[in-house]
Amino acid sequence: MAKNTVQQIINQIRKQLGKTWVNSPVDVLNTGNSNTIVTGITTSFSPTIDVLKRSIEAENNLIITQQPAFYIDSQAPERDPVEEIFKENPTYLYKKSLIEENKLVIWRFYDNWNNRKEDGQLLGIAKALNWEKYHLENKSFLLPESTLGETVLSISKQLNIQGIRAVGDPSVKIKKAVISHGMFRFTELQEILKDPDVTLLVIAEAIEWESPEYFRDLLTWKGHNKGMILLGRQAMEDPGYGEVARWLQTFIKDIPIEWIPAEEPFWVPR
Amino acid sequence: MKNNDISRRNFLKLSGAGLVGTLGTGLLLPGQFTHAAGTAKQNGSITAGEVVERIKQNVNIPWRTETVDNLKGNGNPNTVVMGITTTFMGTLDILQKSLKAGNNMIISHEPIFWNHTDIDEGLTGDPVYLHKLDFMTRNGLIVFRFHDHLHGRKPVDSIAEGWNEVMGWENYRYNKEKRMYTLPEPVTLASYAQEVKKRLRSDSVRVVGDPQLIIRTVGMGSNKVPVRDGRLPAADLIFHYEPDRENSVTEYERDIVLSGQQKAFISVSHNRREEDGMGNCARWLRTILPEIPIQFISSEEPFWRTVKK
Repeated sequence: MAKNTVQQIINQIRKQLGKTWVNSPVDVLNTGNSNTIVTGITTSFSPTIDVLKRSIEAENNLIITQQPAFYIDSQAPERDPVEEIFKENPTYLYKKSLIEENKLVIWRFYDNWNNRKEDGQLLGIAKALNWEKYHLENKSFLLPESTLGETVLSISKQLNIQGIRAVGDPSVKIKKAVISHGMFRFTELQEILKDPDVTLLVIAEAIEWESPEYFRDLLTWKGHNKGMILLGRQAMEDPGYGEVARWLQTFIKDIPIEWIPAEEPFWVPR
Repeated sequence: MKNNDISRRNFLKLSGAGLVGTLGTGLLLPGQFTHAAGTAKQNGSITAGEVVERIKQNVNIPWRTETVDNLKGNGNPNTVVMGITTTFMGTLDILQKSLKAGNNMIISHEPIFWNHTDIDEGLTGDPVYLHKLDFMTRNGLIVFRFHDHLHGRKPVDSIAEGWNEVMGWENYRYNKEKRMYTLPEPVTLASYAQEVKKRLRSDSVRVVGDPQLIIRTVGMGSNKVPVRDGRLPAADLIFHYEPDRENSVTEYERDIVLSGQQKAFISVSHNRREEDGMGNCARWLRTILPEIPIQFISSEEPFWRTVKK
């Protein structure tokens, strides 16, 4: 069995990505050492303490995630290193010790995953929603007719999430839907709404006084003919890291690779 | 009505010099000012500009030069105010309701045009923006954003006060140093979360933590990941609005719980955290603006989750 170091795995990924590879300051090792021999790979939305413990149990010592190890974008130029920022933080110290004792390597795979021609994040959530067969073009889907309320119920059940939120009248008829992953930008809302046929926007998360309120004002003006569903960041993004695992398996054959979902961070009172 | 002979020019000079803002035992009695502003008009009438001046005089803090607290849209400050709506978010629905209620001035805590400064080149030509602005202009509605100084006012932040009232915290023992309230009796997180949902009339309360965790103390926290000091607020259960953002703050909170710390976190919507404070704001405004009807109209949170069958 060939021995692969972390660096060799990253080199294989770089080779596979070809021209779309970018030298991103975000896609770097957050913990650990690139000479480490990889015994198994976990992919996930976020390297939570739970994902790390399950990786340790599965003997996966390379954890490939969308989100950083320690909650903030440590690559931002004005930032001090995380060791400085969190040095007295008990959560950081607990997690750091877990990582070091088990020699875990956390590699953030974000810009390079998103830079591929195929939108892996969109594919992931479309599969998770069971909407692949409804795909029209780009980010739009032509759904079998239902109401906003029915769609909220079916999505919650399908994704097994509690923290879903919706804007709009539950009785509105839904047909053409647009999915937008990542932090939702106001400019994107304006762009999507140029298509009068869009009846549903499915997003992860937005600044509450921006898109949701603009959307609410639009509905007040034009009448209730559309809806918006917010899945929550983890719920929208985690399935894409299932796609990362599937993609890695097509060219990394001799190392176990599995998606360990971070799972929803929230629950809601009944 | 008393009509003190302080000319408008002198009034404005004094406000500009900051003397008005430091009233209390200050230079001039409040009574003289509140009526002085109306010298130029008919009995009982007050303009939007004068409403703003009255607010500035009574917040008991100096009015900042850099602030979002100003008039929005094309509203004319000389418009005579027939009635005031206070609300959290000046939505189009609130503007319509205000018009129906005969309130031509709307005091909104948050932006009217969906971004912090209400100014955005991206809105040029935007149909919803143009419609809302036209609605305000056509119907002579004046919108004032009351944010920075409503939080900053002395003796108390109206928004925080409104929250403490709706949550019942004002009745609980408060530890000032630890900034936490002790609940009348310990309850499970699951049970308290249900109470929160009822009190806030909200469908979007989201919880991080063990539902069986026993909660004795509660408090307000930050919606950001702390840098430098990693010490959490002392309360068992920490509240905040709108995590900034879910991939950072919520993940941090998740790991706090996973590291074994006996803590829990409740994220509420921005609207639910602050809207009751605008009811509180209306009550306060009535004491300084007795001439006009002032009405709190809830903008309600935009989110729901529960589908009624």
